[in-house]
Amino acid sequence: MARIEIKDLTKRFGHINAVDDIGLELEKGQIIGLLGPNGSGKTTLIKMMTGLLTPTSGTITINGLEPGVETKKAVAYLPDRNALPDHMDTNKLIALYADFFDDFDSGKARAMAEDLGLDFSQPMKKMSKGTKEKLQLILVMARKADVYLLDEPIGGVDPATRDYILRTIISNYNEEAIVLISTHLIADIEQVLDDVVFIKNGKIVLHKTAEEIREENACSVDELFREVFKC
Amino acid sequence: MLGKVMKYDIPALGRRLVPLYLAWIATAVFLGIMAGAANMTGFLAVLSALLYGVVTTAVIVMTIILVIQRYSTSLLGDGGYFTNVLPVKAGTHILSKTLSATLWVFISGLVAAITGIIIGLLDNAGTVMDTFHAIGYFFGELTGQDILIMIELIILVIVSAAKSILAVYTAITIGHQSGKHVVLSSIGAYIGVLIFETLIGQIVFKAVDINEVTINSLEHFSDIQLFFFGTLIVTLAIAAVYFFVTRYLMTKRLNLQ
Repeated sequence: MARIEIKDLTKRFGHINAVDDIGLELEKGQIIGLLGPNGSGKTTLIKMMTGLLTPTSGTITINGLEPGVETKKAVAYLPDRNALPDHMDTNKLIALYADFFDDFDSGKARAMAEDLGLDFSQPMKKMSKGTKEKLQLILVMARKADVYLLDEPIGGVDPATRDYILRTIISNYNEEAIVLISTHLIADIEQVLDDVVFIKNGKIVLHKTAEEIREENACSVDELFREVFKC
Repeated sequence: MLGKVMKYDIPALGRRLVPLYLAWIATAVFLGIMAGAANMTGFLAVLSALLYGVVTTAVIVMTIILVIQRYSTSLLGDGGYFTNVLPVKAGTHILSKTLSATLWVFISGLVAAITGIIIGLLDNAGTVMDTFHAIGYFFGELTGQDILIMIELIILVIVSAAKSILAVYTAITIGHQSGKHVVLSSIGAYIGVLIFETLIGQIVFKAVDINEVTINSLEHFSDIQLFFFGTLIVTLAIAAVYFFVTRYLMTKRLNLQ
């Protein structure tokens, strides 16, 4: 049984199918790129996996279960916005995660925040955009989850922060897990991907390993992306 | 898990309300001193009364706004992207928000009473002991049945407040189903909720043959008990309907966009 199984999944907003009859099976032990341009359905698909959106039709299972309290114990989610209470400082946010997630490693989060030179008593609302994103990522990656869903983790940050985020993802995910990263910034992320899913207008147009893409198409994932999604 | 969620919900409202309570008490002290100085016609006296009125209004309005805001932002706004991925049942979130909001509404009522007492004591500083004697006399005269009725009345007020808060949460959650024009849809849903509640009230009153005349003429203790428990059960039943509707929408129809 695949760790994530998606069958005939559709999400309709009005007359638009944001996700259109998708089927997908994702196995553990991989970093997967969910790649597509803006508005292709990446965020909608991830939000259905977290239970934040209810599918119009079709099913999603994670570890054999539909999204609910049990899957939320196993999924670490980084949304595409700041969702944490921004009056809290790093100390309080670490305590908040420790209160709700049994798989959260406070010591690891603390060590990563120290490496970053974070002021533990500074409220989140006073942090820069990049620091906020790094702190959110630290909290997510300090969990020993089965599935990490990272929605645009490198969008809108400077190249140095981008490098830090990618290093943090690679060095902290456990090898039994799935890391699903959604982005349209392929070149920056290509080197860490094991598996690649292209999504276009709510449909999966390609699902291959990064190695297969390079061998079969004789080009990089970034080059193939530009070819598939050229305007 | 309810305790863990409430651990964060209670301070979230208190953080904004406690400073307002302090300002409220300060303006009550100011008003009490000015009123006690026997120059109520002076500028300071008018100013102190005005200040007290403004802060009182601010606390009432802010309590309502914060109760609504806490629910809508932390569950259905950006905060929902964190709150709704916690391994917590939707029912637990709703219950926590309802209990926390009810607690703060109750505390707001208590602070209102405290400001009233402060003004009364400072205004009549020379007759403080007389006031305490009067209060003592009043409670001394009460029978066991009177005290029981007072306690029941307080319980009914608290349960009604919780039910009204749940009604607002239900309306907001229904309003969010529209996806667009969320505020307008929520107001529309709230009007619908109020109509539902009025209809239920009328049906129940008709079924048990109670009207305003019979309520006003309740004299026997047993009649009052019957009325109290009847009202409590109906209020709890309406609250339960709101809870289950909201829980259904949060569990089966959640659509954070």
